[in-house]
Amino acid sequence: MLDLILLGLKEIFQPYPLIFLFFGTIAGIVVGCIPGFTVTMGAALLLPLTFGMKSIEGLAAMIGVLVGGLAGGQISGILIGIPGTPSSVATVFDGYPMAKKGEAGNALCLGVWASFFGGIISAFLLLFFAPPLASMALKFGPWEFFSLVAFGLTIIASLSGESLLKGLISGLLGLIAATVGADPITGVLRFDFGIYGLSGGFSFLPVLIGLFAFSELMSNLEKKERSTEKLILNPNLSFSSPKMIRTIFSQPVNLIRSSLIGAFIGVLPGAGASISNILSYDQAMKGSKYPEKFGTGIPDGIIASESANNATGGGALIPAMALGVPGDAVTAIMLGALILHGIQPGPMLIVEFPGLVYGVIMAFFLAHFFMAGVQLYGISLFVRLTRLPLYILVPSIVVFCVVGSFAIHNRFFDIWVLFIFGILGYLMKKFGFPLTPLILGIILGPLAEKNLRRALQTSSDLSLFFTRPISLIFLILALISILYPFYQRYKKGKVKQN
Amino acid sequence: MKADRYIGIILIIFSAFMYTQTFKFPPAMLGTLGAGFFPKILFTLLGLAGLGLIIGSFIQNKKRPLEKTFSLRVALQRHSLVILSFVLVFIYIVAMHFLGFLWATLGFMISLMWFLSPRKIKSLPLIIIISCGLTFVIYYSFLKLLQIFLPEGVVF
Repeated sequence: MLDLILLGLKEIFQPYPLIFLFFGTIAGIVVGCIPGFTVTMGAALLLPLTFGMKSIEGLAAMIGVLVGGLAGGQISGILIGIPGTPSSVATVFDGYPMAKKGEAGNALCLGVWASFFGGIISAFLLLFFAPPLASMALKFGPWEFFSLVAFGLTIIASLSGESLLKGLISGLLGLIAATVGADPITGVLRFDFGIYGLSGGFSFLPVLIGLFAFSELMSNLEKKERSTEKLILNPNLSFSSPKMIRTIFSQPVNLIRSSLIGAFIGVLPGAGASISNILSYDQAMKGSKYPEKFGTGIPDGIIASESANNATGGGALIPAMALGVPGDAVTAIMLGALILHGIQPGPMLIVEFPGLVYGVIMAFFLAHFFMAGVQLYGISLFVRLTRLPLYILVPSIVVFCVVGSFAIHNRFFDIWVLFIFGILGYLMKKFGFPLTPLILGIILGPLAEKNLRRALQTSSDLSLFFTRPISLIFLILALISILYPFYQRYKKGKVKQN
Repeated sequence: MKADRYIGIILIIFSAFMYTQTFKFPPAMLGTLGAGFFPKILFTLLGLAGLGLIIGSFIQNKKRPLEKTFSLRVALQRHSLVILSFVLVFIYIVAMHFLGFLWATLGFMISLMWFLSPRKIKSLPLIIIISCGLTFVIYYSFLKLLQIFLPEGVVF
């Protein structure tokens, strides 16, 4: 293990990976702190830039965005009362009241250190759990792979939000979009309709940028003006790091419990930081001796929420690095970055590219140090960013989207793909269709098709999917993953009735 | 939702049309499953999901009457900025084809910022500075630093 850790450190401790990790972290904090902009959008916009980099450099930048974004959402949450990202919703409950009491600086500092420790705890979990999971996965045949992918696709159920059917439709549209272009086994052209651009299939990148960045920008325009009514004018940004770190360590149970909840939610496919921060806040309140004080601006709430959301990042990387199954949209984009570099994510990744995998894990550790440093020293700058007007931001980012989509293959057709998927993404969101299943479909589609056809060509015996133990385990997990949201809804309904 | 019903119908028509397209693929060779095997499964499922959406909308309809007061004018008004932006992006892409990245981007940035800004005249100097600055920075950093060519126009 130690030699692999050293290998990872050697990969990441080089000038370029470090620089990209650093700037990625800043970019993550920036997208995180601007309300309406998500970490996913930041990762999607970064993806085209990674193409010109080495794979470790690109992934380091992505890790930076992930860590920075998860932690950056607290800035606007604490100062304006509007969480920058859904992963900092619960931070607002106590962070905003604390800022109103004149302790904005301390609230932010507390959030930064809670994010830091939560992230580091999950980084250790990532280091110890990802490799054994991957080595188990090396014994897979096409049956196990298909069942694994099927399990991955059932994430759609928990990503679906209100309507399972709409999530399923979104996932199917992704799977269908992935069939355009050459057939992965016979090479036959499919659904190109004589259009040259379609014969190469939809590039992953413009689809992703269109769905997550472009459509998100357009949704922002519906609000016309960002509300700044609640802004705390001239907040007191002075803080004391040693005092806040002592505060965190005076609540070890809260910190560890929240980090473990965060990491566990991250491992679960489909559930992300937007759930973990609220869940751990709730648990912190239930486990507290003074639950009535929650929501009045006490440190406990900020520690619970912020340590959980950064821990989710480490948790989500476990299945992504070990099995090639993305836990959420950001890790899906990260796997997309690997594919762009010609590296197929999956259990073989850790065997074929141990330096890369351990480099990513080490980058995740390191990004937390960068995140803490950048946030603590640049807080006043980020505060200004949360006030940038939309009329400047939106057109500028649209241009980035266009450049990003074009640059990857130098194909004009890709700009049209961006535009069309941007409209599709916007409309889907308007009508209540979740977008992440579509991306999941595009990533897992070719794998599902290849392995299903291979399995059926090797033996037409369908029972093999159920008699091979690992395959069966994945299918059972898939079934649980489908049924669990129903159970959750049933439980919620019962609580409401009571 | 009434919209679900229309979306369901569109999905069924789309799946049916695409399903027929799979017949154009060469037939499966001995021992292999053809190129149409997987898409056929997907379009069947999509069609069924579309049907489910329609049925679901009727069930919902019984529980809760459909929203009647849909007004196209109100919807257009509410989304006027979004529609305008989409139209401008469309024009931008077409213009890029003719004018190239540099000039099309400059025009696009200035016009979209102008339409979106609340105090138009007062913000104009800022709009022009940011548009010019950002366009040239992107153009030259991609061209010189990353050595990635951006679209060149037919005219320029």
